[in-house]
Amino acid sequence: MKKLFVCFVLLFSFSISCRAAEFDDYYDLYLDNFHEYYRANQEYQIARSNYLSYDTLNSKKEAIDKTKGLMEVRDEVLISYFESLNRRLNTTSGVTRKDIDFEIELNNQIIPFLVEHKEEIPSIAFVEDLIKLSKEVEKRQLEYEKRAKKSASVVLIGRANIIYGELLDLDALLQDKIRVLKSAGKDVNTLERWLLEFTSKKGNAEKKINEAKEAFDVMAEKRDQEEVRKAFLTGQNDLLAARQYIREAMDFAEELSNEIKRGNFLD
Amino acid sequence: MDKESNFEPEVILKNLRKENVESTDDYVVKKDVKKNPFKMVKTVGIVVGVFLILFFSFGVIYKAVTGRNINPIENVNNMINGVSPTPGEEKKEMEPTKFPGKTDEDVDRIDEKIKLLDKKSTEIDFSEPIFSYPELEMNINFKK
Repeated sequence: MKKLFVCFVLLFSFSISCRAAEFDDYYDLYLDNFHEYYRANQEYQIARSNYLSYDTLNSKKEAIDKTKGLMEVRDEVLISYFESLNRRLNTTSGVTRKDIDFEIELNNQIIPFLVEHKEEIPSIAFVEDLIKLSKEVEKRQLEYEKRAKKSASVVLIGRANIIYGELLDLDALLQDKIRVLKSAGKDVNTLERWLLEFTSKKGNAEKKINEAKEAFDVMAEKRDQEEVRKAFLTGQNDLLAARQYIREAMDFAEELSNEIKRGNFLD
Repeated sequence: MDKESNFEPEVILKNLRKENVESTDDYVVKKDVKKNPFKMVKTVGIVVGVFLILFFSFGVIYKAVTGRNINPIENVNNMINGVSPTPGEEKKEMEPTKFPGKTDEDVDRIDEKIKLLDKKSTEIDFSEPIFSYPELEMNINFKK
């Protein structure tokens, strides 16, 4: 039985480290693609400018080639971004597996379109067709950004849940201890009052986490990129505030613990 | 000519004696020595050289005997970082300050939980580069 347990623990930790390494690989690929995109974008800008200035057959051909290059790399950046995000979701804890799988599934629905789009690019020969094909991706930008930010919000909420969960455990320990002391006939009035202060901070933290969830949910209704970003930032700030409340509650808990040690509570 | 002229040989010699010079030839030689810059550089060079030799040999001897560096900045840094200045001495770790009073298993568990919460809430980051959606060129056109 013991051996079985050890094997299980080893397998579990191995799978976690594999997932983390997998994320690193995909993230590196995303960064490489992004670097390549910068180069392609610079070449596109130069070719475009030359074509608009000279309008020669050569400059037109160069502009078409560089635009194709840019569009291909752009698709590649988006594909690797969503794949990295999926790997990050895979390593996320603090949220249910169902929520994570749901997010991964929605992200995966984006990737086949981008792959197909990328494969179409080399066959285009005219500027007008190229612009039309580019628009296919451009018009989906708001949808993609919302998707990305929703996945990111799941990761962030998971992180907040982890520390809030620890705070709940601490709350239970403090309540148990004070109950034991009270049943032993000790005067726990001060301790109970301090516990109320602790509970108040805990309540504020919970409130902020819920506000963050609401802000993240609101992103889906937004029709403008700036508004989506603003809602995401609001959620992030709420989570930072929640962490601050958690840390303040933690300080109160420390004072409570010290009071138990210092006061005439323990025999 | 009652009064002695300044240009009389006796007067000149008398003035030179005041400067502790026996003859006009000696006077010229002495003035030349004072003016020679090469000799001064040579002297300063010898003094600096001797000082440097003494300084470095003292540092080496000091380290060989005591095992410590003579560099006071390094020693202070070692003290700050908790590194033993003398090789062979074990690094002494500071004991965490224990709050005075009584404790029991429950309170220890509470303290452990506080430590864990402190660690996690410090480590957890609410921003990450992967989260920022990439800013890409999303307006490809050939309009002037």
